[in-house]
This record gives sequence, C-alpha cells and structure tokens, in this order.
Amino acid sequence: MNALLDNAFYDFRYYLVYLPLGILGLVRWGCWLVRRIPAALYRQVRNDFRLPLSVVVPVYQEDPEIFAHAIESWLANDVEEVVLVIDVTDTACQEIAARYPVTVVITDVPGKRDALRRGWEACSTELVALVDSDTIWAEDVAAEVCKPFADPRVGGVGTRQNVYNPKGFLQRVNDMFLDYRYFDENAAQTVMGRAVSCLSGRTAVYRRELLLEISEDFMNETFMGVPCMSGDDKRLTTLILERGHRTYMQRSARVWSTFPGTLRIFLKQRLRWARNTWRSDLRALSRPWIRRHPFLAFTMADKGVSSFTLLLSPVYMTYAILHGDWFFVSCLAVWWWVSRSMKILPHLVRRPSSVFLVPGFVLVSFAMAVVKICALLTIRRQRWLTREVGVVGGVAVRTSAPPAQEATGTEVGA
Amino acid sequence: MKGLRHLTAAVAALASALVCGVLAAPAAGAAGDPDVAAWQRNGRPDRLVVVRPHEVSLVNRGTVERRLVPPAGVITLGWLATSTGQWITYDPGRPSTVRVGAAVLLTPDTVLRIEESTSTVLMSAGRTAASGSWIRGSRAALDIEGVTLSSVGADGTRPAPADAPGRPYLAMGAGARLDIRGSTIVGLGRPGSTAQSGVTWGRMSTGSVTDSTFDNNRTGMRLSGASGVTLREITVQGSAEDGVVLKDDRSTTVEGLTAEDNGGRGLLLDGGSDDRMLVGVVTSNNGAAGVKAVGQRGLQLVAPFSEGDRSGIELVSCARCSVGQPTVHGTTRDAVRVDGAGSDVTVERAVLSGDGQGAGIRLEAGIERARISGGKVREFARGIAVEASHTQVSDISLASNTIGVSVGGRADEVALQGLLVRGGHTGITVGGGTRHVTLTGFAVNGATSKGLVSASPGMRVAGGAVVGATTCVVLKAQGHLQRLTIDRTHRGVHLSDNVRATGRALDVLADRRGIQTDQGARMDLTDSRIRAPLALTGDGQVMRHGHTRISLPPVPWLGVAALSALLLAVLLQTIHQVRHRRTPRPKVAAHVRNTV
Repeated sequence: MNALLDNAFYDFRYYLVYLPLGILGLVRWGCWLVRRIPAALYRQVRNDFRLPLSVVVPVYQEDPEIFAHAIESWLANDVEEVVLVIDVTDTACQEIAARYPVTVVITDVPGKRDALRRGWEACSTELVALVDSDTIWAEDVAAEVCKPFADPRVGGVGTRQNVYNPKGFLQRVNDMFLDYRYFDENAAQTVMGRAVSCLSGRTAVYRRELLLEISEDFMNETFMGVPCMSGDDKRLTTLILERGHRTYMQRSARVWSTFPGTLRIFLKQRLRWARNTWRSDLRALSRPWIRRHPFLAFTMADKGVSSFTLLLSPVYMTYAILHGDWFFVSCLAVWWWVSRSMKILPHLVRRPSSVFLVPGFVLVSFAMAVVKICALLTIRRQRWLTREVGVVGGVAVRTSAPPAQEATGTEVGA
Repeated sequence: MKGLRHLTAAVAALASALVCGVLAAPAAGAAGDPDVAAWQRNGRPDRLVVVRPHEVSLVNRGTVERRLVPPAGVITLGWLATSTGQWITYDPGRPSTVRVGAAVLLTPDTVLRIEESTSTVLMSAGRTAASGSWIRGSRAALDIEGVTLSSVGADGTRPAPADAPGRPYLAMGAGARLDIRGSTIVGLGRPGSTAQSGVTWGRMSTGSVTDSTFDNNRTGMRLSGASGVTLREITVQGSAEDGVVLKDDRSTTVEGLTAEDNGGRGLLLDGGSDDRMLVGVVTSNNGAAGVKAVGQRGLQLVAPFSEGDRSGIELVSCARCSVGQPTVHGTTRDAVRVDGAGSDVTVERAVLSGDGQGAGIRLEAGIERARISGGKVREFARGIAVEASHTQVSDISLASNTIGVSVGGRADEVALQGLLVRGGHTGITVGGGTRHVTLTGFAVNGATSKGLVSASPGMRVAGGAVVGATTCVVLKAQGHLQRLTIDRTHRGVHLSDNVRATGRALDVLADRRGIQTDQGARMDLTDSRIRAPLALTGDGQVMRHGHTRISLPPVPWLGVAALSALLLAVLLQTIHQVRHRRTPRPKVAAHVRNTV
C-alpha cells in the first residue's frame, strides 16, 4: 500500500506539478505572441514632415568625454537650439559646454524634473527633445523624430536606443534588453493604438505646448502622498496619453547611451526603474483613460504578472534538482536557452554571438523579477540610488556631497 | 655379592625418592593447602591473591607468602590496596588510583567491590601470561561502580598492547555475579581462550551492566552461557575482535547497546534462549556485520541501527525471527542477509541505503521461509536479491538500485506484491531456474534499461505499471500478463524466440514499438490497448481477442504547441526582416560602434 502511495506521489510530481509549468509556459508564450505579432508588422513613419526642434539636456556630473561627444552629435543634427541646464556645482560640465554654440542655463535646484522644466520653458521651438547628457544621436535623429508629428494627434515620439560601445557581460545584457524592448513591447504598442507606455528619457520629443500644459502636474507628482523624484519620462508619457494624445516610437531614430558595467549600480538602476514602472502602471490601470488603450493596459498588466510567473520556472528547476530529476532539469535548461533565444531573435540577428550569453540573460531575467518584487514591496521609497539626491520633506535635495571619482564615472549619468 | 646389589638398589631408590620429594614439594603441598591448589588450578600466575570469606592469601609463585584477615562482608579494592603491600597498591601521589599487580581469585561467597573511592584502576599486563593480572571468581560477586578500569603495559603504556600475552581480563564463572555501573573498562583481554577475551560472564553467571563503556578490549564483552544478565545503555568500541558476544546465554535483557569501530562484528548472538527481544541496538563502522544472529529462535530485533558497518544484519539459521524497522546505511556488502537451513524470518519496514554494492536484502537459497514488507531500499547493486523459496516481498519502495529486485537460483513460490522500483538500470529480473513467481500491484518507474525481465516459466503478473524504461517488459519464457500499464517507453513488450505469453487488459503506450514478438513467439492479447507507431511488430504472432484496440500514440499537444510557438517566432522574425530589408545603417560618429 505504501509503495502504491509512493507511486501516486511520483505521478503527482509529473502530472500535477510539472504539467502546470508547461501550461503556464504556453500561456506566457501566448501573451508574448500577442505582442510579437503586431511588433513584427511595425513600420516607422516615412514622410518629409519637419518642425523646428530644440534639445533640452539636464546636466549633472557627466563624464566629460561622453558629454562632449553627445553635444557634438546633437549639433550635427541641425537642431534650432541646444539648451543645457547645468547644476551650479558642476563646473566641469559648464566648462565643456562653453566650448560649443549652446545655451547654458545654470540651476541651483537639484533634481532632474526642475531642470527639464527650466529647459523647455527656455525654448521657443514647437518641438522639444528631452535628452540625457550621456546620449549620443545618429545624424538623422532630428529629422526622423519629426516625421510622426505629421499626425496632429501625436504628442510625443520616442527613439530606438542601444548601449554605447557595450563591453562586458552586463552591458551586453543591457543591449539585449533594449533590443527586446524596441523590437517587441514598444513596437507592438506603437502598432496597436499609437500608445507607447514610456518614451524613454534618454531621448523623447514632445510638442512644447503640451509640455507647458502638463508642467504643473509633472512637477507636483506624488505617489501615496510621497512626492516623486525619479520616473520623469514615464510621468511625461502618461500625462500626454492621459490628455488624449498619442505616443509613437520612431525606430529609425537611433541613439546610444551609457549603461552601468557593475552589478551593484546595475541592480540599483533596475530597482529605481522598477519602482517607477510599478507606480506609473498601477496608477494608469486605475484611471479611466486607460480604457481608450486596451492594448497598453494589457501590456502593463502582463508586465506586472510576469514578475511573479517568471520566478516559477527557477522554483521548478530547484525542485527538480533537489529530487534528482535530471531529465527534467536538462529539458528545462535547454528550453530556457532555446525559447529565450527565439524571443530575442531581433537582437541575435544583429549580434549572433549573443546566443552564448542567453543563459546569463535568462539568469539576469530571474534576478530582475526578484528586483521587481522588491520594488513593489518598497514602492513608496523615493531615492535615485545612483546619484546623491533624494526627496526630503517633499523637496528634491542633495543627500551628500558627490565624491569626485563617482562624479566622473560614466554610470552616474545613466 | 647379591646382597650388596640389593642394598645398593635400595639406597638408590631411597635417594631418588628423596630427591623427587624435595623437588615436588609445592605440588605435594597442593593436596594440603587450598590456596596453593587454587594457584595450580588458575594458571599458576606469578602473584595470586586468593580472597576467601574470612581470609585473604597472597600466593607468590605457588608459595603462600602471607595470610590476611579481611573485614567481614564485602571486601573493597581499597582494603586490598592498603593490605597487600606491593601486590595491589595505591599510586603514589594519586590516592584514588590503584595499581593491581596480581591476579585476584574470588572464592565462593566473597564479594569484591571496586567503587568510586578508587576511581582509577590500573591492571598490570606483565611481560608473560603468568605475570599479567586478572580478576576471576566462581559463586562470588564482583561489583564495579564509577570506575575507569584500564590495563597498563609492562612499559607503562596505557592501555596495554592488544597482543600482550599477559593482558588483564575479568571473568566470572559458574554461579558468580558481575555488576558494572557507570564505569569504563579499557584495554582488557588477551589472545587465546574466549574466557580471557575481555570481560566475560561465564556459564551460569549473572549480573548487569549499566551506563558503561568498554573500550579497546579484545572482545568488548562476552556472555558465555550466562543467565539473566541485564545490559542497559552500554557502549562497546574499538575492540580488536567482536564488540559484544552473547553465546548460549539465557534471559538476557538488552536495552540500548552501541557497538562501534570494533574489528569484528558489533554484536554476535549465537544460540541462547528463545523468544528474546533486543531493543535499541546501534552499530557503526564495525569490521564485519553490525549484528549477526546465529541459531536463534523467536528473536525480535527492534529498530536496530547500523551505519558504516561492513555488512548490516545477518541472520543465520534463525527460526521465527523478526527484524522490525531496521535502519542500515553505508554498508559495502549486504544490509540484511538471511541464510542457513531452517531460517524463517520476517523483516518489516526496513530503511536501507548502500553505496552501490551488495544487496539491500538478500535471501539465500535453502532458507525455509521469509516475509519482507514495507520500507525503503536504495543504492545497492541489487535492492532485493531472492534465491529462497516460499518468500513474500511486499510494499517496499526501491530507488536507484542497479537492479531493483532480482529473483534467481532455484527459488520457488515467490510472491512480489506492491513494490515500487524507481530509477536504476533494470527494475525487476526473474531468472530461468525459478518457478511459481507472481508479481502483483507493482510499479517500475524510470529504469534506464529494462523494466521487467523474466525467464521464469509461468510467471504471473497481475496489476502493475512499468513506466519510463527503454524496454518495459522482456519475456524469455512463458508468462501471463494481466492489468499491466506500460508507458513512456521505446518498446512495450518483447517476447524472445518461441516464447508464448498471454496478455489481458494491457495498456501499452510506446513511442516506437508496442509489442515485439521474435521468431516463433506468440502473444495472445485480450481486452487490451496498444498505442505505438509500430503497435505489433516482429516475426512472431500476436493474436487479438475481445476488445483489443491497436492505434497510434496520442499527439503530445504540449510539445507540439511549444514547437509551433518556436516556429511562429522564427516566422515573425522573417516577416520583420523582409519588411525592413531596406533600412539603412544609421549615420553616426565613428566612435560609436554598436550600430548594426
């Protein structure tokens, strides 16, 4: 009788324990295909439409070489004006800016949001590109980002990003994540309703009149009573969508930006982004305007759920290892490799050698899922994490004097 | 002249008689002095202390040197140490240490107590057998409490070397009593006689051992014909030979016995009283079996535990014996072995694990009957090896054994019921010399080679499942299969040349071949379902009766869906590539390299 009971447990393991993983996997793949099919049909806007464009760049503790390269790339785009809003303490960047024909606004108010606001208020063109100080443009970015604005309903346009000269595992993985984003999620959101969930702050172009309109809401964002410091790009995108305008990802407009190469900063950056995403998505899903964008709502919900479902797979793997079920372990490991490779095919076509990084990419994905859950549990905390600024008493302040070495590191500009 | 010769002869005879009388003086004295006679009977030690109820004699090489008057009643070692001069003496500067430099003979009706006031007793080994010390007695009592009693070599080594000819020992004989409480006995026992092997309760002696340790003896402790001895919470370790020997003993009570690191068996039971029960026997790292029982009747071994012994539990010629909840780990031979004519053994709820060698349970040919039920057996060369007839094996879980169950030799009437075999190379094998083997309600899961292999004529299988083996059932002789489920296999059933078999209510799901019959073989299928790409194959015959259905295996929908999803991903990427084939590379400064 005991033996038969044991046998029942053995069958239980296969049919009642492992089978749900297979079914769940199919469900997840189904969700991915719902995004991937429209994404495969994406096309960038092609026309000759052009509007005057200004570039607004908040600058704080940027790597001098990258900063200089970036300024040169913006000027090479024949934009009407480049407005650099530089922190009063950052004399190194002020000196670099002085070498170029740009407008410099010195600010003594810490925080990116205020710098952005000062920048777009100082501009006079119809379109304003909000750009990070470590972001380098291709020569036709200004021309490409203007094209979607031929549609008067479009309020903001995003670009395609990649890692600037990626070196090392983490930067390569970041490049994979970026390709996954622009060939999958953002492309699908563009096709299905012209509603991209986040126009990345590295380069996002908006109609200036809309920026002025949403300026107060942007500056006074709070979440559960706590003023928000980071997540400016998500907030701007949401405010644009909330007012009935559309957001578009113009993939032919390409920019490159620096990304952290150390695990510590990588995790901190991801934690900050994850908190911003949770705040923005949870708020958006609770508002009426999201009903106008069902596909956007689906992708937001899907992203939230995936944080939890993704972790089931390593849990099953651990269970199988502990029970010595090596056949299942092998199958699952191979499936991770193959299936994830299929999901990042656009990147692998571009960089085939990344196929050897896929196992690492999978493990980082699991780590990111843990980070997302941690972010949800600490959603009210407001810290930049990679910079010495924070929210104290509802106001963005410097939390300590920046160390000289960190001020010149490429990571801090991310 | 003739008279002179008679006179000379008489003088010579007289002289020789005188010489002989002088030389044989001590022996002649034996007839008269009981102490000298005792000296002669007890191996003629160099020094012998003879303890009598009202007198203590010191016999030095056969001559009574002194006679002492002991206190009335119990004599203590402390009194001997203060009264016998250099024979038994306190260690200078250590008032609780006593050195025993003589053999001590306890005569009837005497009691010698070694107590905590003499907490360390060092018994001299000497360089010869005669010079070594010992304590023996018949119809006397030796009472030891709270003492560390150790041998010490002639050169001062402690304990004395195991091969020292004069190594001390304790041995109580007929009608004697030996009690040991809260003590440690170290380094006793000399080669040769079993009575001198360490601490021995002889024939018709009795006594007890409680909370004590026997360390580095020749044989840790031995009951040889003793009666009514109680052994409670004792540890026997580091013995050169067996740890504990219970031979021909009567009414022994064992509760909490630990035998570890002994050179021979941890516990040897040889003969003795019927229907005895041993509780809480723990053996580890012994050089032979943890427990060996020979010639027992009605023995009950309750929850014995063996770890790292060379073999676990051996039962030889034991009738009506049972082993309940035995646990054996890390043995290099058999965990439980039953052998010997007349054996009738029950083993229940065994938990056995090995290191890939030997058998979990081995039932040798020639035993009368065996019943094995419940428990878990893992990581042996053979989980259960049966060569015995009249055997029942039921409700056992076997995992990761090279062969789960092996029935071989001339075994007859073997019933295997409710077995679960997981992993390993082969699930169950039944040899050609066996008869009347039945398998019911069993399951074989995940064997890497074959699930069930039978060459036993007439073997019957009723109810069971074989899953995951390369070939699930191989019949090399006539067999009857009933209510058998076969799944996740390359080949369901394989019949060798000229084999005839019947199958009723079989459910076979194979990814290559369902039933394969070789030349001249014939399978009669009734009310069965065979699902495989090649359901019925081979040069033999398969006859279908009743509602037997043959079909292709079901589609693995989950796998097909996964494959479809992968293909769809490739298709979508191809669509994307085609639609964007004219997208030019971006123009950007030369220092930007990630532009593909």
